[in-house]
Amino acid sequence: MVTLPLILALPLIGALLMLLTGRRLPHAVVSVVCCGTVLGAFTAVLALPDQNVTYAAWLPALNAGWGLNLDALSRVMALVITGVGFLIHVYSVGYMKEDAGYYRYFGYLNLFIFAMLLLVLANNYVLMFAGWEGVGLASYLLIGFWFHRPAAAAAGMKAFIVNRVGDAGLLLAILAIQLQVPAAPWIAALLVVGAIGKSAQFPLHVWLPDAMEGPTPVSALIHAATMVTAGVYLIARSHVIFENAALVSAAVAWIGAFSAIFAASVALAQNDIKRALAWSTVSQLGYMFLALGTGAYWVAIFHLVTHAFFKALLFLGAGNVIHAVYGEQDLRKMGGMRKALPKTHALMLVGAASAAGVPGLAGFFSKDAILANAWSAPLLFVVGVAAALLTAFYMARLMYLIFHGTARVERLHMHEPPMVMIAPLAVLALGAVVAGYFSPRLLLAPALGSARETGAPELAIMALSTAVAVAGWWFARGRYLNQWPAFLQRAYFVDEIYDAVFVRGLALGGGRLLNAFDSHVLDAGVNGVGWLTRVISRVSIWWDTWIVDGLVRATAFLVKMSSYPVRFAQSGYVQFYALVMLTGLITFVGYLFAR
Amino acid sequence: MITSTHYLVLGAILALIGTVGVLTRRNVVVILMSIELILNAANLNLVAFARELNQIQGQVFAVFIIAIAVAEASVGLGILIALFRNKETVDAGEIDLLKW
Amino acid sequence: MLDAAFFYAFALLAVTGAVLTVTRRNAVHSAIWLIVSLLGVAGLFLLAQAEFLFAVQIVLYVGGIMVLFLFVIMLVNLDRAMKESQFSKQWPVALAVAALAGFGLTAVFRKAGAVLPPMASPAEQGNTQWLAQVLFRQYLLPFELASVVLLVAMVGAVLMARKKEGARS
Repeated sequence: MVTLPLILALPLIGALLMLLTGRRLPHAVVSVVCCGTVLGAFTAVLALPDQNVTYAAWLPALNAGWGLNLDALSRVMALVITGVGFLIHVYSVGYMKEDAGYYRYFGYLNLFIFAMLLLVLANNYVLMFAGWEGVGLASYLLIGFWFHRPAAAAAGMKAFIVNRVGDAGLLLAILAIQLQVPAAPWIAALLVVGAIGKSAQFPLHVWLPDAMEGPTPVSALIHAATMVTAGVYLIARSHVIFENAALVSAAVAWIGAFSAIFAASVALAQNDIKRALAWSTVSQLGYMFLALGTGAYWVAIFHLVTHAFFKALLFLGAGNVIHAVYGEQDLRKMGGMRKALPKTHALMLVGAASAAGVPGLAGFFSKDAILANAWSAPLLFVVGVAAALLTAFYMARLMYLIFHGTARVERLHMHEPPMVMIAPLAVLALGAVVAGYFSPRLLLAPALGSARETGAPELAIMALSTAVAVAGWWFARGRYLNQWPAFLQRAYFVDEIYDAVFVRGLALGGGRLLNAFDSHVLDAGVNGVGWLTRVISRVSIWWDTWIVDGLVRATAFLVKMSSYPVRFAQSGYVQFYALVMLTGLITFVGYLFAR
Repeated sequence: MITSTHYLVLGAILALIGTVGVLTRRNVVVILMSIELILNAANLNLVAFARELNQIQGQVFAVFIIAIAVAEASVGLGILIALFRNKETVDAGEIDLLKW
Repeated sequence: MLDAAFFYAFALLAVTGAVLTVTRRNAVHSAIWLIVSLLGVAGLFLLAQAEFLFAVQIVLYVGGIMVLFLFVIMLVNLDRAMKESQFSKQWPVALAVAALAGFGLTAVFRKAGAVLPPMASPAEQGNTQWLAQVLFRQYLLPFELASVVLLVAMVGAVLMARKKEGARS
C-alpha cells in the first residue's frame, strides 16, 4: 500500500540514516541509499493519484493538521524536486567523491528534499511553513557546508538572516490565513514579502549570489532549480488571494520585471562563473514573478520547470568546468576549454541556448508565454524584452569566456569528468530541449485556473524574441572580453548600501542616538544614585572589612590552626588506618560491655 | 567434652593472630593471607553455632563468607599486581598515596 | 573422648599454622603454613558435622585460593623484600592493641561462663542435602547476588592486573 507520506518518509529516512550513522558507512552505501530514496520518491509521485488527506489533528487553534495534498500543481513541483534532485544526487556522487563530509553532504541533501517536498505537499499553510523553514535550514547547512571557510560560514548566515526578513512577513500572512481573517490585499502583500525573500527578488536578492559558496551541485539544486522557486510556488498556490488584490499583483509584476532586468545587467558583468549563474537565476525568477503578477500562474510554473532544467544543467556544467580546472571559478582565467571538455561544452551550449531563448528550445517557449502575457502592460513588456536581450548576451558571454578563444591561463591535464558527472547533464539537456513542448497549461488549469486570453500577437512576439536572442548572442561574440563598470560588477552596490543603511546606519546610528540619551538623561539619574550608593558603600565597606571579614577570617584561622595536629593522622599507610579502626572498635565494644 | 565454647575460643585466637598479621606485616601478600585467617575464624564460629542450635543457616552463611573471601582475595591480588607493576614494591610501608 | 583428642589435634594444627603464617620471613613459607592452618580448620568443620564446608574448605581454599596466592608470590619479585625488616614500625602499638582485644575477649568468655551443650543428634537428612535445600530456597536471592559479586570481582581483578596498552615493559 503506497500512500502519500511515503514520498516524505523516504528522503527523511535517508537523511536520518546519513546524519546519525553515516560516518561509518562506506561511500557506496551512502550513494545508493541517498539516490535510491529520491528515486523512490520520484516514482511514488508519478504513481500516486491525486488526493488530499489530513492524517491527524495538529494545531486546532490554527486550523492546521498533518495533512498532505497531491494535485496537479504540487505534482509538477514534486516531480521537479525529485527528478532534478535525483539527477543532482547522482552527479554529486562524482563531484563530492573526495570530500571528507561525504555522508554529511548527502544527509543534508536528503533533508532538503524532504523539507522541499513537505513544502509543496502540505495541505495547509502552517505545515507548509515547517517545510519552508526546513529548506531554509538545509540551505543554510549546505551553503556553509565547507564551514571551515569563513566566507562559506558567513554566506550561510547571510542567507538565513535575509530569509528571516521575508519569513516574518510570511508568518504574519499565514497566521491571518489560518485564523480565517477576511481576505484582504495586505495578506497578499505579506505573502509577497515571504516570497521575494525565498526567491531572492529585489530588494531581498542579496543572499543568493553569496550562497554560491556552497558546493556546486547544491547551487544547482537548491539555489537554481528548487528552493528559490518556493516563492513562485507560494504565490501560485495562493492565487485566489492575489486575484482579488490587483494592486499587489501589479507590484509583484513590477518587482519581477525590475529584478529580471536588474539582475541580468549585473550578470553580464560578473567574473565568477557561479555568481554569473546566480544573478541569472535572480533574473529568471524575476520572469516568473512577472508572469505571476500578470495573472498567468501556469506560465510561471511552466517557466519554473524549464528553468529548473536549463539552470541545473548550466550549474552542473559549471561544476564540471570548475572540476577540470581544480577549483578555479574566475572566468578571466579560463578560455579555450572546448577542446578539453567537448561533452561538457556541448551540453552547456544546449542549456545556455535554452536560457537565451533560442527558438525550439524549452526556455524559448516559456519566456515567450511570459512576454505574451505581459503584452497588455506595454512597459512591462518592454522591460521583459530588454531583459531577454541581456539574458542572451550574458549567456553567450559566459560560453565564450569559458570555451572559446585561447586559454588565458595555461593548464595541464584538463580532462572530462567521469560518466557519473556527464550522464545527469545529458538527461537535463534532454529536458531543456523538449520541456517546452509540454505546456502544463491544461494540466494546471484545475489547480490554478485558466489564464485570460492575452490577445497578444503571438507570432510577432515569437519573432521578436527570436531576434532578441540572436542579437544578444551576436553582440556578445565580439565583446565578451570587455570589462564592465564597477557598479555592474558590484551589483549596483546594493550590498554596500544595505551595509551602510541597515548594518552600520541603523545599528550604529541608532546606537549613537541611544548613546546620547544614555549619557545625558539616564546617566544624570544614574550618577545621582551612584553618589548615594557610594556614600552608603563607604559605611558598608568599613562594616565588611572589620566586622564581617574579621569574623570570617577568624573562623578560617581557627580551623587552620586546629588542623595542624589532626592532619598528621592522615599518614597514608593502610595498616595505620586499620590499627586506628581496631582501636576504635575495641573502645566502642568495651564501652558497651563495661556499661 | 568439646562444647561450642571451645570453638569460639579457638576462633578468637585465630582472629587475633590474623589481626596481628594484618597490623604488623609489611608484605602485602602476607597481609592478605592474614585476612583469610580472620575470615576462617568467623567461619569457625558460624559452624559452631550452627551445630549448637541444630540449624543449617550458620553453614549457609559460612558458604557466603567463603565466596566473599574468594572475591576479596582475587581483587586484592589484582590490586597487588597493579601496584607492583607501578611501584616495584609489595611493602605496605612504602605505599602512602592516601597521604594528606 | 576421641572427639576431644581430634579437636585439640586440629586446633593445634590451626593455631600453629596461623602463628607461623604471620611470622615467617619468606612469603612462600607463610603460604604453606596458611595451608596447614586451613586444613586444621577444615578438620574442625568435619568435627562440627559440616561435611560440605569441609569439602569446600579443602577444594576451594587449599586448592584454589592458595594456588592463586602462590602464583602472585611467584609473580612479584620478593628477593629484595626478604632482606628487609618484615614488620612495620607500628608493631609494638599493634601488639598492644591486639593484646587489649584478647584481654577483652577473655573477659567476655569469662563473663559468658555457661558452657553450651553439643549438638543433640545428627540430622535426619545429609548435611549437603539440607544445606542445598536451605541455600537454594530461602537464600536463593543472596546466592545469586553472591554470583554477581564474584563476577564483578573477576572483571575487576582482570582489569587491574592487565598490562596497560603502551605502558613500559
